[in-house]
Amino acid sequence: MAREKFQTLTEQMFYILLCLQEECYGMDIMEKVAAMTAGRVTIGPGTLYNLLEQFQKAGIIAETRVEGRKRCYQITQTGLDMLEKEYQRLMLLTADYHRYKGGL
Amino acid sequence: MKRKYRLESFTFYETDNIAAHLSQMAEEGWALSSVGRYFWKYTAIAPEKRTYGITFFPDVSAFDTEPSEAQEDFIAYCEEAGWNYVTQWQQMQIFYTTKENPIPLETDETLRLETTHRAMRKNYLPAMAALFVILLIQLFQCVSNLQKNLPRYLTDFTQWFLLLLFFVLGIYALADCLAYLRWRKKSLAAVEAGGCCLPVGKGMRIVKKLYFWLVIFLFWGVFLSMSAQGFDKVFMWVLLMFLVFSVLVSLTSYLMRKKKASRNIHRGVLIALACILPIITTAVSFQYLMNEKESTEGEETYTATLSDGTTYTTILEKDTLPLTTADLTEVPEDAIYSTSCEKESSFLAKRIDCDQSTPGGSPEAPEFSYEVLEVSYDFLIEPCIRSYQKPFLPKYADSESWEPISISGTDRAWQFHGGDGARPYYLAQKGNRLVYIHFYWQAQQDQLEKAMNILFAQTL
Repeated sequence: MAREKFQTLTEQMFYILLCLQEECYGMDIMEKVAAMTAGRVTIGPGTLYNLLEQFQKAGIIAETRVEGRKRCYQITQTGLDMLEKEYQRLMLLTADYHRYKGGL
Repeated sequence: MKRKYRLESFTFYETDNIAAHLSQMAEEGWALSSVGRYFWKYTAIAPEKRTYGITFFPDVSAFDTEPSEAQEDFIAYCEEAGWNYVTQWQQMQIFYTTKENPIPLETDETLRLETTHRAMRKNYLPAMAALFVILLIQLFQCVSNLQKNLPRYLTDFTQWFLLLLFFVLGIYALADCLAYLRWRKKSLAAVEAGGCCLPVGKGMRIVKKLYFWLVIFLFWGVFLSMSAQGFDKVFMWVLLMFLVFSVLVSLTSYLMRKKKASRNIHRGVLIALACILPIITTAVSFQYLMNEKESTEGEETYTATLSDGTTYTTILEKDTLPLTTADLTEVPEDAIYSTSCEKESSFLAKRIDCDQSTPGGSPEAPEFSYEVLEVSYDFLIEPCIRSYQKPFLPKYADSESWEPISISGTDRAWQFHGGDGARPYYLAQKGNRLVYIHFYWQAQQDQLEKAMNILFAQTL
């Protein structure tokens, strides 16, 4: 079943929003996410650009500053709620894993 | 700096194959510098190991004369990640890097599929759909022409070559669209299952190359059959006008880009040009071809003076006819005639189309025209009879008919009846031969039978 847009977040979406809890240049997100995940999660520049555009259109992030070609973003309350919702969902998955590990 | 131009046959969405090809070219010492309307331009470099990356920026328009701010932001993101911008092919953005293990431009397959589809919907799919519709209309027109005048087109292969050309191009446009939709459907399923977009097979590219040569062959066929009809100048002139049209549109677009005109102005100017230029080129073509026809140098002519004093000159054809009006009836001594006889043949049929008429303003004299058709295969007889017996005008179809009559020496014969009674149009069949005669006088039975006997005995 297709994931409805932003109902659940991919790893890349999750870490972008996590980065944007503090104001951050869009271009710096690629390096920050790689550092946060020890290189496990990488975001391509094309993907990053498109996701930032989509997040901004959905009101999940907001542009805070523009310096030449560099744009700064920060997560909005809508985005924070979405992040929290995703975290709760992942916790449920973790709890179910511990409960049922080894079989029913 | 050495340059090379190549006609590449990639489909718009086979990004992996394009990237692999460009990497291969770079290893051979050729770097892509730009993608033109028909050719890809490469510049000589020292052979280098490059990784090419292809992505789509759907907001690009063919009418943009410079990158938009959003596109420049997009390019800046990619350059920040170590990719060097090369050029674009419509919405496709082409980069390269010399880094080992670079971060790919796209790391989310769902998003990659989405941007690919947005680019295809903006550019490629509408163009292919429009081409398919236009070709369908042309195909319908060709079939309609064949039905209306089958006897003529059994010996004139221009219409058949055109029919095949439109059919082949229509099938190609449809197949290309369907191939993309099939790839997209399968890729969507793969991505939803956690995988990647499917690689694009080389099948359509091979088909594209084959179609290219098939289209060239069919165009050549159209040229040869038009030449056989004496219309080679028409073909060359139409080709020239098409080239003039293409050059003017390209030049205008180049000037718009140089002046950095806005997208809307660029689009408006090109659309206006695309509407006006065909009208101008058609008018110029018509004028040129009419002048060619009207040249009377070396021809026998007849000049009549009209009641208002103006003169009118007609070229008199002097072809030899197998049957003339003098064979059937009395012809005045001062009669002036133009006699034309076209002969055509093919493996399907042989045909002569003859006309004996008087030029306007000349003394009155008997006139007629006739056609003799001999088909190579019996199954062609009935369709040809139906074609000869089609209504002159659809709106009078109900009041027109072909009534059977008896003409000795023939298997079957008919005479045309209009709303006002019997008219001097006759059609007869004997074996695999048909004769169609239009008399411009009320022919008697003996004249009709003599005409038929002469024409059925005629060697084509």
